[in-house]
Amino acid sequence: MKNKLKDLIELFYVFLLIGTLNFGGGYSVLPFFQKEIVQKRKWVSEDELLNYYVLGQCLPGLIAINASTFIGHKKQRTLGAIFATAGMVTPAIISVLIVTIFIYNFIHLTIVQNAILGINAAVILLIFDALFHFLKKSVRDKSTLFIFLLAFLLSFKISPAFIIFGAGLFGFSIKKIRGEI
Amino acid sequence: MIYFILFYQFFKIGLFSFGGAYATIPFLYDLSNRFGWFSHEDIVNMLAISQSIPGPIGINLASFSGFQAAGLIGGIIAPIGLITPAIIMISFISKFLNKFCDNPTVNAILWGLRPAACAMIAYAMFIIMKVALFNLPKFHLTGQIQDIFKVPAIVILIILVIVDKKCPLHPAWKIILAGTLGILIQL
Repeated sequence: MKNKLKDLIELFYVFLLIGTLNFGGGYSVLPFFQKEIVQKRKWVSEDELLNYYVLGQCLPGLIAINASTFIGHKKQRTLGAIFATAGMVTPAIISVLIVTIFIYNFIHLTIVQNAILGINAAVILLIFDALFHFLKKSVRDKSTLFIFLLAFLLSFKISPAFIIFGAGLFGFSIKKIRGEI
Repeated sequence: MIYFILFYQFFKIGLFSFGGAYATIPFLYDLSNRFGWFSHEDIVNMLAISQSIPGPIGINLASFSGFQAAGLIGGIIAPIGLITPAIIMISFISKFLNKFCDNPTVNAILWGLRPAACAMIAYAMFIIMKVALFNLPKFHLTGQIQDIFKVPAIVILIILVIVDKKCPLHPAWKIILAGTLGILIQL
């Protein structure tokens, strides 16, 4: 019981640390996990961590959060998952609250707007990198290209949840018709 | 009541967004259109700031959105809603972990779903390009062709692409470089 509590507090602390040091989430957290969780604390092995990343991508939501949840769950079941994830999101929420309270009021200042204009250009590049990375893995033939283009056009008109749901159903039906499942 | 709606809406995003933070952006546009908690311009601003502060971008974005919609408590409830589906699903899946990704039915669904998730990210990029590189409201106002483009932003994008080709930069450095250029170019 005492050990469990100690584990939970440590989980929260370690993920709090990682969440504070990491900017951006996603794959950029991977090196932090490798250093703090695999090498230093040996909570999971290198292979397990990679599995969590692969599985985290199969699931909806944020990859870094999904990986944190997996690690927490391995250590202390559902409570561990909650503590690890809570540690990971706390710095993100606090930094947003600080920005909103202290800086967001200055958002219309020219210098802030100019910085944001520059940052947005970088954001386009970062999204392009992410998109390119995902496209290479998921769009490989005519059918997947068709789904990509159709979903892109529909996203101007239809709520994204419907598109995702429809695409999953479509994928399942095609594979069923082809007799692959 | 607004807290309940916020939680539900972000729970839904957590359940249906595949592909990370950028894949949540089309959902935020959808919320903006339906509830008017924040404008499209707010989303682009929030995204720029989220890139520059600690934590996963998706959590930052959710917290910003919740804050805009319902103040301090909203800023906490929205990210909690976003991560709840993952915690539930992973606690459930962990028991038969490796079988999950090898299951043919799961694979068939993911096969169809991943290109659509890419399309969500492409749509997010399209929207951000529209706001970040072009100034359509000004063009509609003046009718001058040269007013369509935000020239400084386009110049910065080109500089970043060239620098990144020469020596790949860590995302954090790209953000810092771009922000600095943004201030310097327009002095």
